[in-house]
Amino acid sequence: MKYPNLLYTTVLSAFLLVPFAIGYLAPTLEPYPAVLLPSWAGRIKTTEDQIDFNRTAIYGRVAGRDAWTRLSPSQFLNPVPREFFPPLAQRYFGLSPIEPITHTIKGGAVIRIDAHKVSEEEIRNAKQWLRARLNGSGCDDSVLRITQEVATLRRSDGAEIAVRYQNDKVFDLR
Amino acid sequence: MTKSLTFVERILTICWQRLEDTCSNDARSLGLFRIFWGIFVLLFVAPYSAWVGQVPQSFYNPPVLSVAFLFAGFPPYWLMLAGDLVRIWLVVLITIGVKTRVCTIVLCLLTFISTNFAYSFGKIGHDILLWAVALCLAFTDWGVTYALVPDRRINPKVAARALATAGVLIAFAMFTAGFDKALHWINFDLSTSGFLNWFYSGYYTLDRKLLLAPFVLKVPPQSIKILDFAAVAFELSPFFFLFAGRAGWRAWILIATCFHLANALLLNIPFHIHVLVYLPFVALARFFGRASAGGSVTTAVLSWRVPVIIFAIILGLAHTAQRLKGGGSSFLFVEGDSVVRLAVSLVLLALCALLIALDLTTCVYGTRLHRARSRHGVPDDA
Repeated sequence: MKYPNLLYTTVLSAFLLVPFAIGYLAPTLEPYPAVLLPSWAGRIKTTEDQIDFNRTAIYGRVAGRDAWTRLSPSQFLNPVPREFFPPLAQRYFGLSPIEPITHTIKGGAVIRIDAHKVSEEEIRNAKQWLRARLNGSGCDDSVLRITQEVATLRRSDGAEIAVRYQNDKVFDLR
Repeated sequence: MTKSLTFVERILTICWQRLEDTCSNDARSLGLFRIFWGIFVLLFVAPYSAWVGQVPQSFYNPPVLSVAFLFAGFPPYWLMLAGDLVRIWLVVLITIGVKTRVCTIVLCLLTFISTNFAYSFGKIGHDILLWAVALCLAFTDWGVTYALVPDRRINPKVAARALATAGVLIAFAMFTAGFDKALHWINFDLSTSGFLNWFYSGYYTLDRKLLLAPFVLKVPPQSIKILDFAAVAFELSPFFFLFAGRAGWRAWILIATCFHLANALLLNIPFHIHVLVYLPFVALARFFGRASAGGSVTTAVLSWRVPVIIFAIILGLAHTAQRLKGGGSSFLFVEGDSVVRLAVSLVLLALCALLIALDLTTCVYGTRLHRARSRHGVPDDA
């Protein structure tokens, strides 16, 4: 081989740089497997007494009462790891019809990809699974509430000052 | 055109030679590391993906650019369980040194497939370096020494290139973490903080309030801005240290271990799997003395390897039993989240830092001794 190091470096560079470029321009299209580590380069204001957090929360209705209790994602979803909870809950555990996924990449181009279709039987199985989890949490197993919310916390001690519900959905699991 | 290509080829040859000199390690050290790697994986990173077969198919949301996207849903439980068991016993075989090269390659490929499905919930995990570095080690002599069924010795050039490639993968991975941070964190706006964005979300939404995390609240936020610069400098510097030489690279991996220690203490993020990413470059054989010729050595060597072999097999059997009973865990057989994980991560990272520091000290001392001898015209073996 005439230029072995050039060939090796070119192949290795392509293997590393192409996934990086895709992941950078369109984070939702991050390939796997790829040699990438999380960046999470967001910033937060440090001069204010309050901080806002976007979060997805799940609530169960307390059995026999008309009140909601926030459920712990790690306990509710076990064995699914806690870090997988936000994207799962944002898709409402597949219970709602899922529109084609739209990815806007840096530069303005838009890519549409058909999401995995969830069948009626899969929805039934999911409801059965969620009902078992709600029962295990001591909640009414007929409803599950999923909210996208902005929680305002006091920075000094984390006390929750306010919660703004941006998207509140209640699912009938019967 | 040919002249340009020849020139580029010459530059790349020099660069790769430098990287190979920086990252090289002897076969004894790699053999010792292999045993450590296997026991570590069986205890703290045990293959466990069978749980994927127990969740509803409606959760399935695979990465678009992955093999899992070609499938309609999660594989059945029995298939994921079989994959776990195969991987566990491949790790056992690697630990005791049976056809290590083939076992390592098969293990890494199976892991990429299994974890692809485990990351099909809308979020990709980032343990890729552990398996990418292991795949590079498959092309070294890590399965030759201290092995029950040793591999054939590989071409030294290939082994050197494999370790150099592992170094490049580590440096590039860190670059991907630091690149976006550099664009957003490097400024003199003391009213914003990237580190605190990580800290607050972990502290208040994930309950990461252990160890030194509460003390972060007592530090004026403007003072913490320095951590933004430090994180970016650390994550964008590894290529420089790779070319700086053996001592430079070992200094960087020591800093990296301390970085993970700090993250564990302040952010409660345990990244103990990177112990297995940094230690392949440490001359572990230094801590075990010279191997001398003679029949008594065989007995001495076997005497510590037998308990290791038995221990690895016991771990494999324990994992198998736990899996067949329907349970499973990747960390110390403990199911679910555990506070113990953070504490053990600290101990592992501290041990890793100690080993790297000792190796670095010996490396620097050796370099100074060599230079002193060169100045006085004394041969190194005098």
